[in-house]
Amino acid sequence: MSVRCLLLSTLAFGCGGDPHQTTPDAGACWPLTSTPGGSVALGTGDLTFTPMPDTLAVTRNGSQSDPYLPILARMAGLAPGDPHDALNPTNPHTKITGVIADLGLTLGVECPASIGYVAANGVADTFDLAHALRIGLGTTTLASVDGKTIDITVEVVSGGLYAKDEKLVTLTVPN
Amino acid sequence: MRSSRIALAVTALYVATGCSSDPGTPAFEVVAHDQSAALLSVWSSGANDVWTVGGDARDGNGPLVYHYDGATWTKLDSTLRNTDLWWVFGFKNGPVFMSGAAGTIVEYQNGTFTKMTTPGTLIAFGMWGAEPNDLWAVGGNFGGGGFAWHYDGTAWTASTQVPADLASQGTIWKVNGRSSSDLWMTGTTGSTLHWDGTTLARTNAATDASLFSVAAQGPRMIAAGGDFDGVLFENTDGTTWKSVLPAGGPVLRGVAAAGDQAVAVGAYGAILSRSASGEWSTVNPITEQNLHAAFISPDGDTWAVGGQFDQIPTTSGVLVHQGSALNGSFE
Repeated sequence: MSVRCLLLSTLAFGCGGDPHQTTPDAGACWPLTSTPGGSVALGTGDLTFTPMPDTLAVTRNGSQSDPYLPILARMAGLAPGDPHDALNPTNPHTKITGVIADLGLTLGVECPASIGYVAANGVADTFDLAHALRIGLGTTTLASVDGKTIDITVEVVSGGLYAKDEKLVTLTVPN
Repeated sequence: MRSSRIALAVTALYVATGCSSDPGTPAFEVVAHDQSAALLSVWSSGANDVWTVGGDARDGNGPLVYHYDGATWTKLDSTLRNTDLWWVFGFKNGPVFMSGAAGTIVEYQNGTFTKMTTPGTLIAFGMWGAEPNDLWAVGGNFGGGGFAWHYDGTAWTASTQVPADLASQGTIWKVNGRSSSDLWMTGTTGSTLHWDGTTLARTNAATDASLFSVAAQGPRMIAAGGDFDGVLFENTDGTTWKSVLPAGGPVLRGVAAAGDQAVAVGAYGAILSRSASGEWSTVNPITEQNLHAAFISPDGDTWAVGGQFDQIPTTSGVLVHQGSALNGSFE
């Protein structure tokens, strides 16, 4: 079994099929009824989308949060919702998951975010998640994740359409 | 990119007057922005007495401390250095207390700042009290231990009733209440503690996320927080916390209430407003900065503060306001 498949199987997605169709029931908020459509690209940044690099530094700052990874997404062919109203029921549902297979860790939360998307700067007909979502590292020690590979997945359901992107990324921990 | 988003938000504010605005309700306005450090707390006893405090930019000038007397904003020197102030709470005609990093609590009275002796060195994130001689301060170090201190007018004393897991690994973020024998503290992993004057009793909310703030509104307590997304709970019977926000919204950092008004504020300028009928709705964003705290003054003005506070030093302080017309400029 490939590493990629191993990681995916951790999420019970399996290899070769439609992962959304085989995602385990994580509760009432996910998965959502949908059919494949549109596209989404995984990125990073706080407010400005940058395509997900091969290496990503853990953000650790402040006194009110665990260390985290800032995740953004860029979509096309999907309804962007209202970025000014996080409670708007028509907003896309964006779910972020991170799996560090070496540590047996699956990071992320059960329910998707309902944040709207804003028009991407200079890229026609595409929209960026209005602001970053965080993959929190919880109580995991920073030393244990330094240099480890994480499989980051973004899934979006909007207007009944489903899109997904994922990437294997190496984590670094700044001094 | 950033400026265009802000322009869009501000334009939307004036065009649409906010998602939840009622006709005649003043719009939120930005009073101060791009401050050298984040503004972290705001408190007011009325239109002529508004305080806001914040981070220390490590520029040699100490933490941000401003007072508004109804005509002029005045920047005050607390004499503290390299110390972020996370909270301000006071009493009409004084004193005013400010708390923050390294267990710091200062008392301001009659133009003088006095640094108080405290039982510890962790961050004092919040304060509330019914009287100047019956005051609570709470805090901790995220993941590294939480505390609750009580001031009796003479000395600060650490409570021994903080649950062991919170004391060793958690943080108590905020405290708010109705009286000296009816107050609530909120903390990490959905923890809430009720003080009845004698006992600190735990009644957790159904979340693993931090509850960053708590506010009293008559018989109702409101707790706000989040991790990946926001959570908002209300408690009207003293025992049960009921979730009042669907999953997936922005992380909430502050909540405030007075009379029939209540607001919750949070990530990327999020402001939620509670209607008199109990529904929470979004107010059009006026800033993209993270909002950390809110306060509703006795005369109904709503204030919120924030900036980039998930970093040291904090930056980009912002102060927003909704209510009666203001005089003077912040700087």
